Amino acid sequence: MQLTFPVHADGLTLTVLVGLNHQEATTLVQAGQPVPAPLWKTAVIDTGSNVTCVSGATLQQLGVSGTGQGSTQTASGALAVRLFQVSLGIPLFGNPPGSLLLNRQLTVMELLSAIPNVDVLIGLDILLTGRLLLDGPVKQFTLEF
Amino acid sequence: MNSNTSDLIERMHRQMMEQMPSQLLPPDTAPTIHFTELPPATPGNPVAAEWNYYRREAGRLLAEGNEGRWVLIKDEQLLGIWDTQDEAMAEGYRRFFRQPFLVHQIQERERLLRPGYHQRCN
Repeated sequence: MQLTFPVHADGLTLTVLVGLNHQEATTLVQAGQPVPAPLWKTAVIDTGSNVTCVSGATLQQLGVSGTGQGSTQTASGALAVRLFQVSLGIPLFGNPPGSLLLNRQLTVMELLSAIPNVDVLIGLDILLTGRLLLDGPVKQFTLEF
Repeated sequence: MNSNTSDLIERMHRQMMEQMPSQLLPPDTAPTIHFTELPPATPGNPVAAEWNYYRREAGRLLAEGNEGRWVLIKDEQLLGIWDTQDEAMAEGYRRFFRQPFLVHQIQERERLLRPGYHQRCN
């Protein structure tokens, strides 16, 4: 599957869907409760990140509970960070209709601080499962999985 | 910039390339943190009790041969150890749905998470 996106003024940005993970959604269905719809969010490709990150506001909006802990290194030393399990969909606008790259159960880190106009950093955990081609002069990038 | 300067710059770069010591190559290992150095939970973290309990117990869990397995912790209670994250998560959701709980892999050294170019200065 090959997905091509335009490079925007703000960088390698794209629109993604963030939702409950497969296990959590299944538990809700079994309990007879409604499953909240995934949320449209703005993501940026970030090859400097070794983990996909989601803003705290998005995680709160979804109502997911943090079920993991990790550590990161900051200027002031190691810092504990919260990890969550979500689903992440990348719809392929301008690509074959209905195409969707979907990860049903993905561990993500809560962003340490808000980034203007960005809710999701797509990190190497996803990118290393495929190919990323940046065509600067043509101003487009391609994800191939 | 005239061509003489340009040549000079290129020559200098090429000279440095020839002298490049092998240790200047980027390391091919991901940075990790030892279990004894795991940072405490930040204030307000819903799984602070669980995380701090894990930090205290990690040495014992490793000594008992559980490296690589996954723990499920609620409050300050270890509820079980599973071979996969999926199994531990399923049990966590079954018992504590929509409540905080901690699922964590037991490791002597954990990979440090790096949240991107945007967040390096925190």
